[in-house]
Order: sequence, then C-alpha cells, then structure tokens
Amino acid sequence: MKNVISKTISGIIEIGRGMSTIMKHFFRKPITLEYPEKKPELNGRFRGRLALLTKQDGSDVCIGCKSCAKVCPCGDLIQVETSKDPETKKLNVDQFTIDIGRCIFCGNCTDVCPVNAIVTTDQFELADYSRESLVMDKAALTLNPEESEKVRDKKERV
Amino acid sequence: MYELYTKILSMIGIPEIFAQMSWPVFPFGCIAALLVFVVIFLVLMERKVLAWLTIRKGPNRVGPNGFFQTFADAIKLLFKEDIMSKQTNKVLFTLAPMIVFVPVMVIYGLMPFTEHLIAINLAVGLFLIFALSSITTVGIVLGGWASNNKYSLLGGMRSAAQAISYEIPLVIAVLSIAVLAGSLNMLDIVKAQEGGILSWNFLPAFIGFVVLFICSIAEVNRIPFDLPEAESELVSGYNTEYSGMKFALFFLAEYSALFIISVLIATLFLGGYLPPFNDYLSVILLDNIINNPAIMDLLVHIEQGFWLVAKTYAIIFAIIWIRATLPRLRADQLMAFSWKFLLPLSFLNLILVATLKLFI
Repeated sequence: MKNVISKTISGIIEIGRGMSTIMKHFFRKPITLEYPEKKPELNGRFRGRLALLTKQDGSDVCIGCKSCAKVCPCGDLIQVETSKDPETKKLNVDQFTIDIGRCIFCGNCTDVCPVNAIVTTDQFELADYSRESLVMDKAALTLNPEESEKVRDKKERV
Repeated sequence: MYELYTKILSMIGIPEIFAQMSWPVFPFGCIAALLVFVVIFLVLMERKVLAWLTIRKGPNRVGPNGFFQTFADAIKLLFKEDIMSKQTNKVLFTLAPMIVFVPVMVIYGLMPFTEHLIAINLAVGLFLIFALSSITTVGIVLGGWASNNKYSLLGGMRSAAQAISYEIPLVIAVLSIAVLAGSLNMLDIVKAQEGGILSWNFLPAFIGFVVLFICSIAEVNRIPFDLPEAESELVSGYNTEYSGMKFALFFLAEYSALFIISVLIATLFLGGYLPPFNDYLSVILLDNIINNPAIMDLLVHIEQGFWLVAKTYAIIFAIIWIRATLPRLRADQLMAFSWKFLLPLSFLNLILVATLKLFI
C-alpha cells in the first residue's frame, strides 16, 4: 500500500515535469524551415553538386591529371580530354564532363585532386526532366573567380 | 420557439404543414450543422496546437495561416474512391461507421449547451449519455471484424477490451455526481452547481474528476490510450481498410466524441454553462445600465454559451497537451492501470462524496 502511494506520487511529479517541459515549447519560436521560400545554410563539408574552380585571372586550376576519373567508383562518370600545349608543354583541359545523374556524391574525386580543382558545392536542387540534361560539361561545371573564392573560403572555415 | 419557426417559414412562403412536419427534425439539423463545424475547427485546432507544442508551425499553406486546411482535407476525403476488398462482409462494413457516428450525434442532443439550448431534456439524460457512448465501441469492433484484416481485427478487439475496463470507473466516477446533484437530469446537475467556482462539483469530487478525465481520454481512444489505432503497431487499427466517406465518418465521430466528452466533463464537474463568479458577468456589469429584461435575458444566454465553450476548449487543450507529452501505454499496463488503480479510486471517491452528502 505504502509502495503504491509513493509510486503514484512520484509518477504524478514525473508527468508534471514532462507536461511543463512541453508547455515551455509552446512559447518557443518554431524551428520549421519553410523550404522552397527559405533555404538552409549548409556546412562547408556538405557534399552537393561537383564544380570546377578557377584561379583569380579566370584560368583553370585543373591540370588534367585525370586522378578524379580513375578514383571515381561509378566507372566512366568523369570524362576528361586533354591536349598538350606545344609552347609551355603543359596539359590543356579541353573537355571535362560529369554525369551528375549517376554521381553518388562520395567526394573521392575532391580528396584525390592534387590542386583542389574539383570541389563539392552546397547545391542540392538537381532535379531535372531528362537524364541527358544532367550530363554537365566544362562550361556548366566551371565557377567564375568570385564564386570560386567564396567556395574556397567556406571550405577553409570548416 | 415553434411559433418563431413557423413565422420565419411563412415569411419565406412555405405552407404551415411543412413547418409542422419539419419541426421535430429541426433540432437535429442544427446539431448536425454544429457537429460538422465543431469537427472542422477541432481538427485544425489539434494540428495547430500540437505543432506549437512540438516547436513546429503546423498547417500554414491553405488560406491565411492554414485556416482552410480542414476544408481542403474534407473535400479530398469526399472525392476519394470508396474501396472495399473482396472478402469483406459488405453489410457490416458499411454499417460500422454509422454505428460509430450516430450515438455521438444523439449525445449532442442531450447536452445542455445553455439553459434553453438543449434539444432533448430527459429525466435520465446522464444515464442515456453513457449508454449511448458505449454503443460506439460496438461499431468499432464491427468495423474491425468486417474488414477481414488482421490489423483491423486486433484494433477492434483492443477497443472492446479497453472499453469494458474503462467504462466501469468512468460510470462510478459519474455516479458521485448523481449523488451530489440528486438527479440524473443534465440541467438539474448544472443547476445544483450554482454559486461560483467554489460550489462546482470538482471540489467535493476531486478524485472523481481526475478519474473521469483519464477515463474519458481512454473512451475517445486518444493518446496515451489510443491502442485501437496504434499507428506504430497496427497500421491504423480498426479503420485500416476504410477509405473515402466511410473513413470520414469514423474521423468525424472521433473528433465529435472528443468535443462532446469535453462538454460532458465541463458540465458534470466544472459547472457547465455557469460562470465562475457568484453571478453572471453581464448582470454584474450591466445591470444598472440596461433596464430591459428581454435584452438582459439574451445577454445572459449568450454568456452561458461563452462560459461552456471556454471551459470545453480549455479541457480540449489539456487533452491535446497530454497527447503531445505522454507515450502510448502497453495493453497490459492499460488493463492494470484501469482495474488496479482507477477502479478502487473511483469507489473511494463515491464513498467520500456519499459521506459528504450525508453530513451536509
């Protein structure tokens, strides 16, 4: 009998504590993010769509080593075509295509890149109407110098 | 009231014979309209309050602040296909939502919303209310059985077990009110509580108030006693196989039962339509200003409605608050809680109240 009464009292106190906690939530600001209107602020480590960075003067960072194409677990997802510049003996990147529709966003290509030319951005709205339009060429992948600077900043801050 | 009704109808140009025929149906027309509007508001209120209690925003797309969300949901339900699987018992399957819905609607007619606004004033109103509210369970069991689905059947069986164990403490707790008021008539029960907050029934019968509150949550199958539905275990419980209009009827019955059980708690324990002061506010404040007794009567009448609605929605808020806080009970915990705890408590309450009544 004594046990039952003490259990009952402690139960009432516990339920009261729970109820008052929920009541405190009533006066808090909702944490809901109304998505299509407001977009979330994502961490620099977020692995979204891949992009190619450019230097300050607008030239490619990529040196055409094709490490990213080799390390990619999805086979021929990244395709790089290079040609040798006859004067400076350096490689020119002519074509750089990524099939985003097959990308698994593992980020291996960004890890392996020796000059940090390929990065993951925070863009995640990649839905499209056809598979063909998800194949992105060099022009679509390359960010302009200001955007590149922003992305580098964000990656460094993490 | 009847004279006014015939006068209005004759003004529109409808013969008196129609008025005579339609008069008995008229209160139920009003009740049906009230019920639908109450449910539409209640569903929205539940979703909004639940969202606020869990730091969300709730529906806010349809109309200003999402106020038309329920209308959109209702229209969607009305246009949905009425699916019935092959092996179901079609008669019972169709009958079940009606059996759930109709008793709740009749209970609306037995409730004193204000002093004059009571459709059927019976001498045994309280008894009939509890008799009718138990019929709902039959409909739920029937729906679970006729669906020919294991989840539905389990839900229906649980509902029966729950109803049997929770109705006994419920009725014994209410018995103390009948002892206090000396009557089973709902109007008499309210009138016995006249004279401010201190003469309301929840003070002498506080244990009964708590027991009735817990049991009525179980009676309307809400969290933490929503075992017949139990989303995480039984898909959707007894209404798994229902769709379209039949599901809408179950839904309507559930929410109108929530409203009416809150009105019942307010009426039995919190003074019904009576104000928490010694006299009506409109009498206290405006007695010297307005000398016309007809206007005064009307004001008092409106105030009575206001007090009942305020009390009812306070109780509904508490029920939603409990829903946001507590997890669902296990079936054996549910049974143990009812038989070992609530039943002795309700007997204790009855003995205390009866002793009190004897000496006062």
